[in-house]
Order: sequence, then C-alpha cells, then structure tokens
Amino acid sequence: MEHQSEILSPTTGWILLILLAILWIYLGIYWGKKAKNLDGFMLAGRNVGLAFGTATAMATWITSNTTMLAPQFALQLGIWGMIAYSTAAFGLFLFAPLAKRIKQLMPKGYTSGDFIRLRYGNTAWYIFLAISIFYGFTWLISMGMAGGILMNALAGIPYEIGMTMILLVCVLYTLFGGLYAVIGTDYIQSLIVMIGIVVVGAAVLYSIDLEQVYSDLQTEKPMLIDALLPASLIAIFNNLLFGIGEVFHSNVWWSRAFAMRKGVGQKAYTLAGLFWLPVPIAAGFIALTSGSLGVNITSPDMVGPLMAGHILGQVGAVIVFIVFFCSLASSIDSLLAATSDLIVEDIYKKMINPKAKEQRIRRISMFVIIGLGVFAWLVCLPRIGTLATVLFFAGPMVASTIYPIAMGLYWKTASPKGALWAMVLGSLSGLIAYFNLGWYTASLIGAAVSIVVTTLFAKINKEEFQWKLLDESQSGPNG
Amino acid sequence: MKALSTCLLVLFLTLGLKAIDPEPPQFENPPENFTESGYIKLSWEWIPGAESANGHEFELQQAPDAQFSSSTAIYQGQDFATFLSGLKNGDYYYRVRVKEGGPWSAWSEPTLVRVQHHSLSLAFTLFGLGALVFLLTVGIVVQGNRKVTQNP
Repeated sequence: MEHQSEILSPTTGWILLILLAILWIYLGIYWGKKAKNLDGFMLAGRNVGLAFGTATAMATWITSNTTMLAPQFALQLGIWGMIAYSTAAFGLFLFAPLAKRIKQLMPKGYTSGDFIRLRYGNTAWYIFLAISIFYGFTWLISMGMAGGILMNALAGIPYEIGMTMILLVCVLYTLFGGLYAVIGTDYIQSLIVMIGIVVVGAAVLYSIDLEQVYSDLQTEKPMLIDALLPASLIAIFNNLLFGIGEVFHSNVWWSRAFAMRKGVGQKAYTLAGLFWLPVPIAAGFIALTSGSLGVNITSPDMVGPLMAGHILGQVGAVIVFIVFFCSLASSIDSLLAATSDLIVEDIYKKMINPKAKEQRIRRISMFVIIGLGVFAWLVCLPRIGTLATVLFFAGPMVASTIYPIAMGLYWKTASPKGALWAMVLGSLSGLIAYFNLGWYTASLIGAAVSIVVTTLFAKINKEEFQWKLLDESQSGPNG
Repeated sequence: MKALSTCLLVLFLTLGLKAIDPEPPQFENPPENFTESGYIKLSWEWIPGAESANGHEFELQQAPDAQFSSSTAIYQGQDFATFLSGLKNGDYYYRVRVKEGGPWSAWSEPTLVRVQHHSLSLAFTLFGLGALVFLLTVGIVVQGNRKVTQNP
C-alpha cells in the first residue's frame, strides 16, 4: 500500500522494456556464435583486450548498487555516505595487482573456488563456496528486486512484472552467449550508463540552486551534512572493506581475470576503478536534493531513479529508465555467468562428475543459469527489505574472505586452518555486529577478525606452499 | 412547521457531513520507534471511502511534543509512506490525516520516533579500526606485489 507517484506512463515503460529486451537478446545470440567451446562460453576464449576488459569491469561494478544504492546511502547517511560508497573503487584498485598474480599463477584456472581448493584444501573450499554462492544470490536478488522497484517507481509497472522481465531478459541472453555476450553487452551498457550519468549530472546542476539545497538540508535533515554523523563515520571503512571483499573473492572478478589476455588485467582493473570512482558521487548527490524539490520518498532505494526522473521530466525519465536498466542488466548477466561457472566447475565437475565431457558441462551450465534465474525470481517475489539490508547481510562473509585470498596469493605461509577459521570467525563476528550495531558495521568487524586470524595462523605455520601446485595444467587436476 | 423543517435540515446536514468524513489513517509503525542512525520510514494504512474517486490527500505533521503545540507539515500528497533521514538526537512525534475532496479526517494516533545516535567514541573507534585494517590490506597487496615482481 505504499503507493509512490510514478513519472512515465506504464505504456511508455512497456515499450522501453520490450525494445531493450529485444536488443540485448539479439546481441546475446550474435555474440554467442563466437562461443565455440567451453573456454569460449565460460571465459570468452581467454582473449579479452584492454578496452573490453576495462568496460566489463566498470559496467559490472556500476550496478544497482551504484545507481540505486549510492543515492540510498546519501539519503540515509548524508555526504559521508555518498563518499563511503565511492570508496568501493578500492576493491578494483587493489584487485588490479591480484589479477596479474592470478593470471601468472593459474593461467588455465576457471574460478576463484579453484584457487581456494588448490591453495587450502577441501574444508576451506566448502566454506568458501558456501559464502561465495550465498553472496552471489544476495547480489542477484538485490538486483532482481532493484529491477522491480525501478520499473514500478518510474513507470508504474507492477513490481512482480518488472522484476520478472529483467531476470528473464538477462537469463536469455546469458544463456545464448555465455561470457562473450556478457562482456559484449557490458561494453555497450557501460557507454550508455556513462553518457546517461553525465546527462543527468549536468541537468541536476543546471536545474537546482545549490545554496538552496544546502539551506534546506540544514533545516530539514541537518545530520546529512554533519561531518560527525556517527553512523556514516562507521560506514566509510565498512563499505570500503565490503567492496574489497566483494571483488577479491567473487568469481565475477576472477572469471574476468582469467578471461583477459596476459598483461591486460592489472591495467583494466585500475582504469575501471578510476572511471567508476566519481559515479557514486554523481548518482548519490541527487538524493540530497529530494527535500528541496519536494519529492516524497517512500522507500530509500527508490530515491535515485525518482529524483533523476523528477528533475529531467518525461524525456529525462526515458533516459533514466534506459540507464538504470543497463546498469542492472550489466551486473545480473555477469553474476549469472560467474555463479554458474562456480557451481558447474567447483561442484558439478569437481565433486559430482569429474569425467564429464565439454558438451555435457556446457549443457549443465545452461541448466544452472536457468535455475539461478528461477531461484532468484522466487526469492525476489516477496520484497523482503531494502537493497542495502539484503546485500549487506552478506557483507561480513565476503569481508572475511579478503585475507585468505590476498595472503594466499602472496604469502607462502598462509595456512589452510588460518583461512578456514578466518572465514568462520570473521563471518560470525560480523553477523553479530550486523544484528547488534547495524548493517554499516558488519563488514568492518568481519574483516578485522579475519585479518588477525589469518595473520596469526600464517606466523605460526612452518610449512611453505609451493606456488606451482596452483597451475593444474602442469600438476594435473588432482594436484 | 418551519421549525421542524429547519431541524430536519440541520439533522440532514449533520448526518450528511458525518457520512463523508473519512476515517483517519493509522500508522503501521509501532507507537514508539527508536533509531541510532537518524533515519526511519513511516508508513500508514487507510481504506479509501466512497469518495475516493475524487482522489485523496494525506497530511503528515511533525512536532517535538505529544501535544503538537508547534507542529510542522512535512508531507502532503497521495503516498502511503515517507522516509525520514538526517534527524538529530531527540524525540519527534508524528500524526497523519486524510481528506477525500471534503473535510479532513481526525488525526491518527501519534507515533514517537526517538533518535539517539551512536556515541562518537564508538564511531571513532570503529573508524580508526577500519582505517587500520584498510592500511594493512593495502600493505599486504603492495608489498606482496613488489616481492613477486622482484622475485617471481
């Protein structure tokens, strides 16, 4: 019953939705023709260059998390909240050297799960898979929800239908084209998103009086411009560490590191971070103008699209619809592809059917992509919370994986027990903080516990890991 | 006869007015709410009456006391919720009413939002902890990268 006044008519919304659906599915089929074998379908032939590599990393990181959560952060946590969101760029910056190292150590690797299994053994691998797949689901669900919320807020399309449509479109084109389609569409989507954000940003600056916005904030929402708002001070490093955890552990980023040509990964991730850094600030700022422009916000995750649509009017709302749709699609497709790779490679191929032939694995991949889409759809149907609460629930778990990954790539003494306990204790302590202090503390606490545990175990461990064991093409699948 | 007609007219008008007087909305939030972050969502429910075809309008008021002696209208419109943020420490009372083309309904039961931000000492402790963990993370990656570049 929380009716929110929409900007576009449902008819316009439907026309846009159908046109975008046809375009992305056509491109998925077109790029899918390149995927002639499993490496092509899962890793785009391991031959992605700098332009596509940068675009896909940036497009994937510009998700509903950026275009919808950054404004939500600004509305909830003010100026610091907006800046806190942009610190997630450090995830990409710090992953840049890791991407180079990953490609060097595992030239024929497939997933982040491969690394944990080979580096730390099966027990840590099971825990890691549980965390990574759970995180993939929360991200996927938060974006399915975002799709429904967006179409409902902008065009009055019922939440259930909008959410179904965006999941369906992304499942279809990922199914046809695998990672080729994902990276190809990411390239176009990143261009559309960047142009759209520049247009929206310019229009906002042109149409509002900054002094008036400041004065209204001082009167109506004074803590949003208070440099000492406690929750936002806490959120800064919480979000930064969450961003690092997301990128370090997730197969979305590892699969791109494997897919990029040798020498490309480090540059591509650095450039993507630089391009991404200002986007949350541009997207987040408009949320602060809601009071001055008299726009009522019924749910904080709607503030971004609503404000942009309100400021730009009918034509602008069409641009906003396209930009937000692209930002969502560019991440949903990546998640479907990377999570299905993780499930197929780490669970089906390694645990269930190690002798499976390439054709069979590809068929299983397609079933998994459909299954992921259906599962996400079922969980998205009841709108269970705001985007932030859904996504940040996984925060402590992913933050607890930072050090098993980073130290595991550089320290020979990083130990299996250390990785295991870092993930378990980091996740548990972070979840306790989530429920007792607030969602904006959970990743920070999880990461702090994880770094201490991983370091302690590494210091007392006398055994040194042999890096060559990570290259399965040299050592064979069983090490 | 004239007096009787006047009485009937007054009775009719009174009943008539009563018939189009809408029921007040009710908050979905509990009567007392607490936040440590300065933001909260207020939502209310209301069943449209016979006049709903003419559209409806809510008015939401905020006041620092339960008597609403110095209240401010913070929202007027058709939505069934509003998101509040940036609130300073303190008690805030809210009430909502509705009209459907006719007179306003009575006010809803008020709801209290008590804002008590986290202490700054907790905020700075966690800020400092976060900064330390971040710097150590940068150190692990930068030093590790330098080491493997020099000695692959």
